[in-house]
Amino acid sequence: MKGVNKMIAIVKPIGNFCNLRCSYCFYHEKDQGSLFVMSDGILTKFLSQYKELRPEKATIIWHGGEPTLAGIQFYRKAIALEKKLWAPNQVRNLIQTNATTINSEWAVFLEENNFGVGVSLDGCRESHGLYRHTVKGENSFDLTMHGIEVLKQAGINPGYIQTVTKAKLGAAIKDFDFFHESLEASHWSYNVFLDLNNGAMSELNVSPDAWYDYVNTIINLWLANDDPKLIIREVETIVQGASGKTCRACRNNGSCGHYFCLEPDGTIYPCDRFINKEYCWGSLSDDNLEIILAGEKRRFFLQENRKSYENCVGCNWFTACHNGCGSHRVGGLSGKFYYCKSMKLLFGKMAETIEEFRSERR
Amino acid sequence: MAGAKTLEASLNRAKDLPRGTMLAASCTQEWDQWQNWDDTMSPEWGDVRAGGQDNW
Repeated sequence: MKGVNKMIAIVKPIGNFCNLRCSYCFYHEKDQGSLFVMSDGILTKFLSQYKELRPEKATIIWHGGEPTLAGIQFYRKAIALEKKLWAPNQVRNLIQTNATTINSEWAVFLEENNFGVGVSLDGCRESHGLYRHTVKGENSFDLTMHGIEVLKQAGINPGYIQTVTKAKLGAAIKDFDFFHESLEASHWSYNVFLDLNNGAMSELNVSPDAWYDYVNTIINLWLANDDPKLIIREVETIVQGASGKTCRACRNNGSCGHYFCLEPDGTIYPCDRFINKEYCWGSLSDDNLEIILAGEKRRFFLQENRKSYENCVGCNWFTACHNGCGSHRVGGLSGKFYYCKSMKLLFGKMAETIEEFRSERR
Repeated sequence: MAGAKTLEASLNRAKDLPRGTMLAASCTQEWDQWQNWDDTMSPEWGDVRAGGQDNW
């Protein structure tokens, strides 16, 4: 199958396990009672078979739950194996963490091994404390900020992902200022909260109109600040799409199904938004990675994703959007993008802004 | 106009990206962006762009 040798790996060495109890997390209701760390056997099998697929350039995103709970020794083993298998600088490692476990040993390790670090931080103390709680139910803000400080001291400038719920919509300006001025962050992104399965937290869902308003506010703040070094994923995506380019973000560039997510027991899924039996592509315990990725189950996933494009016939913004994130479609992967209307308006408005900019330059 | 510097920087970052895939091609082909694919076109977690990039 075309492209198997370009796939990016999302690896979850401890699965959903986490030391926080963020009430909006889609893993919140899953078992948090036992820590199961990926075995040396699965780790070795994965890295050696991934090397066969991507001998000269590979990307591994270490994810969770809270991936640092696998322990620093796990990552020392992983990096040692990578160094045996690939030449220097052929593997890009990224890790997404809540930063609460980061100490100087972790920070030095991550810096020495050139990890890109993403921190989950929802904004200022008040915004972060709405849902990101410790096991005791307390605001995890101070723990996360301490971790960020330790990372910075080690020379790491992390990226940030903040989750936007209905309850946080009114804090758009305050949180923008917090990231830009207090934290002096140069790049961050927003994950919109949406539970289409009517789960317990679906009352926090952000409506299409509210998402348009929120992102529009962020774009206006971004323009008003006029800081060329400030990179906000959602704004970049809209600029890329509105200028006719392929967006970098997976949710808008049609690459759904072109990643794989490895669980600690060796099972493989399309993405951590699709961890359920229906979407399991196979297991490293039974098959070779390439065979799994070239298999019928993945082919079916890709077909379902393409089928969803039938919802986009006649849309001028298809090339910029690709029917959005597969987990944000009403009725499942082949359904229509919940934020279709918001994105059309945002792309359209940005196209006008770009046209104004270009006409002033002529 | 307000934001001219930041918009120009963003457009410059986007200038080497391939043109978007048309609907007809996306529906019928396997995914025709593969010829243009590189690892900077990452999933959302890949947007943690700190560190490492300069040496990539």
